[in-house]
Amino acid sequence: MICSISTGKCGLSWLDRLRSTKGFPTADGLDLDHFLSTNNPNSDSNSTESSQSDEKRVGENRKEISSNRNGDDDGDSEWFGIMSNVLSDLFNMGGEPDRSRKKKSSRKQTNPRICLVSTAAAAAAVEEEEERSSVGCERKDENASAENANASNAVDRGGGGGGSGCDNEEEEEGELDNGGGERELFGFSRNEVTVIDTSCVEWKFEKLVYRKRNVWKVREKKGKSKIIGRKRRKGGGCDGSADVKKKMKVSNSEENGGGRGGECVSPSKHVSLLC
Amino acid sequence: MAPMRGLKKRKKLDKKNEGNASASGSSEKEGSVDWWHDFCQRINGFQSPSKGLDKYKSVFKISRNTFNYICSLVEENMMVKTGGISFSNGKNLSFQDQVAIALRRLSSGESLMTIGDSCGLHHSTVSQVTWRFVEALEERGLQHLQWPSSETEMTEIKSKFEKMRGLPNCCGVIDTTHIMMCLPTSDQTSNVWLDREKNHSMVLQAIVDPEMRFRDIVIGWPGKMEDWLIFQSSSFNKLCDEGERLNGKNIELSEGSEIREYIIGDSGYPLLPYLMTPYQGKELPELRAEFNRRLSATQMVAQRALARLKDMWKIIQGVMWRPDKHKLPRIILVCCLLHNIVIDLEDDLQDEMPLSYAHDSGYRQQVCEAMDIKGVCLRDALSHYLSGKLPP
Repeated sequence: MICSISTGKCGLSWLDRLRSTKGFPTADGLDLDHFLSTNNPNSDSNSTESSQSDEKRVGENRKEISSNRNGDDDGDSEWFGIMSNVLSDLFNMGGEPDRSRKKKSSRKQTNPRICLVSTAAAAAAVEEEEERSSVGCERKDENASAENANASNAVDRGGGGGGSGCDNEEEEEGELDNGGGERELFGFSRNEVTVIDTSCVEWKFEKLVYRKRNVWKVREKKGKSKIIGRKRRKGGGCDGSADVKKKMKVSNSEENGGGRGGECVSPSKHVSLLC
Repeated sequence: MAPMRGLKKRKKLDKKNEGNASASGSSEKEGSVDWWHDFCQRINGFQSPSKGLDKYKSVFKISRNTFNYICSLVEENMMVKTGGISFSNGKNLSFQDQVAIALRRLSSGESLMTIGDSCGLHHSTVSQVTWRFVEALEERGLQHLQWPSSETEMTEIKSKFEKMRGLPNCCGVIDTTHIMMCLPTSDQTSNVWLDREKNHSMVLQAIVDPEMRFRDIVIGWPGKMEDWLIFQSSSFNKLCDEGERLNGKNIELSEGSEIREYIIGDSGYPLLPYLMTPYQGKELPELRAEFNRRLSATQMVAQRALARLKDMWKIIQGVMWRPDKHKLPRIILVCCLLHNIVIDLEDDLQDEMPLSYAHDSGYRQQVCEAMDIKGVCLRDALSHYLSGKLPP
């Protein structure tokens, strides 16, 4: 209330006093255009218009500035340019921004989308999602070597290595933002296992076993990756056995054939083998 | 070294081993007899060597000849670093002492502390010696666990299987057992080892020949993985699927009907052209019921093999206290190798072993309904063939 009272001492309002303390004209010549064109802060200018009108004028002024740039070059145009940029930044005018001062775009997306990486890893991840959502999901042989490197790296980062007698399982609940391969393993528990298979030339090897409910993924420590099985929980018997049936592709040619060269696809076709 | 099977080979081997033992043992002249005398004196609670030869078998569960052969296998590897291992009284362990202690540990399943106390050793020494033996045998003894490499050998196997219950062209029996472990239940990292019977376990899958010899094993997968999944991830399955294994001659069952080479398994496995499983369901037609009976009777050989494995090498019989899960598969492998060596050397002791069938007590039968149409056809043909043939 006190501030709103006009003192009448000097015949100046609070706005005028403010302008005078800042070196701006108080009574006449308040027009910003005039102020800028004369390059004289003390020149007569007088304005009580709202900021909206100011913005409009500044916008108009910027047009003038841009036209002046192509015209006679002098020190004034440079000054105008600086001022107009400052003002446009201050008032966020809708005009065309100066290319020399292009504002940095935000690193955050205004409308976040799923990032689709066009790699084998992403393809494998998508396939897996599709398979998971499909009815007959049992297991499949995926060849996602590109993904495996990422996954292995992730594992190495998170795992802390083996060697000890302790189990190296951990829930990968943290952010895995280094690629599709890691994203694919989100929520999987991880175990390092040593497997001996005497039919394999390299009969002893270490594997990384990822498990999420009934989905198992096996990765070689050196980077190969394969899904060895997936099944859906169904009541009774071998879990997911019905899915195995569905997944099996059957050819009835050579029913009693020797098994070589037949088209019969056993479940093993959908299982990644370890060697 | 090639696998040694048969009496003639065994005798040759024994002669060779006698030479090895005398050359490398701690007691040169009398060889292992004197060593046994010394060893008995060191072990608390054991009787004098006069009664010792029989005691020898009860301690190690293998004959002297087999012991000597095992020593000859691992000698080179174990002798590389012999220093620094001694009894509590300061006397160094001989190479045979080390083998004996390792065998005792594997066969008795007693704790490191118990064995250490009975032998006058620190428990860490027992552990060290056992692991050294395991490393040596897994490297030197793997030829005792191989898929038949020659047609002659396979023909012999198939013939023996057919003599059992009439299954023609059968090459092996597959079965699975669980090696149980005691893991902290509060630790979520143990979950993957928790099997369907709520035990923490590691799975051993074995394919067995008619003489209970392991021909193919897969060890190390967590107990939560089902039998069929482990089979499908095995190299054996891959090789069969690619026609590189079980690819021998077909046998003509009847006119226009042939059967390829195959193995048999229980209902926990999928029915495949190279893996015959029983018919499922109750009140089966006689034809199918008879097939199941023959299949089940033939399968007993695998159950007996696994039961004997655990009975003879008791370290994998009980519940292991928080084992190193990277080392455990190697210990199991060595037990399987020892099991095969006893068979290959025709150790008399194997005949004295009880014929038990219980290797996985408390585990219910799994059921896998997956089947391949070719497998269905072959099974039907086989059951028809068997229905018209009396058991031998």
